[in-house]
Amino acid sequence: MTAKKKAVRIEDNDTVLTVLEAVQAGETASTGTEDITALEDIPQYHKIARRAMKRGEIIYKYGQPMGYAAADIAAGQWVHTHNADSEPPEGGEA
Amino acid sequence: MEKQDAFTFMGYRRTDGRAGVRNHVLVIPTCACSSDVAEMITRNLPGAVGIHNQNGCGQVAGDRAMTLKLLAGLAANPNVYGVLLVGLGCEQLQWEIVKEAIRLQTDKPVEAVEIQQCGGVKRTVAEGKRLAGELIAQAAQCSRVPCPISDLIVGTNCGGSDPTSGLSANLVIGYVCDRLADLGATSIISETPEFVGAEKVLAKQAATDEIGQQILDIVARCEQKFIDLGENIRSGNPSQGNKAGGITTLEEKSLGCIHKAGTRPIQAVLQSCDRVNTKGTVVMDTCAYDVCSVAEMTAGGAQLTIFSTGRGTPSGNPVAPVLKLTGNEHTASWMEDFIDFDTSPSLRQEQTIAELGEALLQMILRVASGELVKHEIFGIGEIAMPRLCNYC
Repeated sequence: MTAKKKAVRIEDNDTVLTVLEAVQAGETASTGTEDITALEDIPQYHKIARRAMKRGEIIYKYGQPMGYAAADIAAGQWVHTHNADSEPPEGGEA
Repeated sequence: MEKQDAFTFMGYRRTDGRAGVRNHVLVIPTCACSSDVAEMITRNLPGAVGIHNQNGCGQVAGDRAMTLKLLAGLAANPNVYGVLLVGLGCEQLQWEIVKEAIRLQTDKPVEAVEIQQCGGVKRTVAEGKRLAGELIAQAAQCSRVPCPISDLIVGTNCGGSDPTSGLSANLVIGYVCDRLADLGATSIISETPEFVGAEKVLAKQAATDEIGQQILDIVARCEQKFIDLGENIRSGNPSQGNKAGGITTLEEKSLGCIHKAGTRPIQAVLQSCDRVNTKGTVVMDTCAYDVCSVAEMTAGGAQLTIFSTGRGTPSGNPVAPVLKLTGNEHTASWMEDFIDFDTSPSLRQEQTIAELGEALLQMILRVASGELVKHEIFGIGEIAMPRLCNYC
């Protein structure tokens, strides 16, 4: 059993957590009150999805929209430039 | 109401009603040509602080006006007891012009020396030291008196940011800004280029639609100025380094910066170096070069600034203490000689943002009462001045 990796949620409505240490696939990122199991490796200070997001859905961090999901994202997936963007994807907001 | 006694500091009550947290004599060169002589005057005079001035001559009118506003504002800051102006003689920004601009704000003592009139370096330094010495002796007669926290204007800033800035230190600053607003004090949110991408979020925090529109306007004007120069401040932002550090979008980067503003309504939007007369959270339109934006807020009357850094910067200000925070535990220990407050316990889940914020609030009051911050101990306080072709 590996130790839980620390993560932080800034506001309650955020759809991502930020991991404070690198997390490997299968490990748990924990805010102390909330645990998310990583589906893939996530580098330190990068984001992990708290819940599933549809392509075109707004991603929240700091309690505010920080961009759009550019693909369907599952809870526990790494959220970064490969699946998130400032602009909504073609087809518009979900 | 909270018990107010817990939120007082010992400050210097000035004749214009404002409260200083320091009691400096400020030596101001009116141009670059007199900057070295001004520094010679300041050297070995405990009680005197100085700035360097790269401007003051060879400037178009609009640029010169910006320099004048900054110099006069720094001189008028309540942390300054009195001022010695050091002129050359033939520069655009004659000391009489600077003195007149100071007089529009305060009646504090202002003395002047001029190199061409005094007759060279040695005589100007001797006369300057004599005048500054007299001001220091007068300043020493001032005593600290109890002042309510509502007398404080606290600048906020970030520089040398890393991912911990947006996750820890800026959150603590935001908490403190909310507390300052609730206690009747003022905090200033600055660095307009860092609002880009999050300006609509900040505008929503404005107390009125008009103030919200002013926030959108200063961001649009800032962007347009760079576009007119053929530059785009959105391009390359977030940088490759930001992305490697986990920042995905410009909005995310800017949200991390503007979190310093906390959640209370924004009560005013001020131009660079405008004198701050509003309580609560206000925005000042400054550049994002930290040594410059701190100087601009200080010229507006901020008696101290709380400053988050991740990678670590020793910068300070000669007039107003800059209280340095970091959320990066390595920076906190590796560069402990310029870090004043460590917020990394929030990332280790040992302390909450609120607990750290309350501790920072108490430290602000101690610093306002005379406790030195690290950059003051080392005599670090270089500034930069806002320009017509500005820093971003």
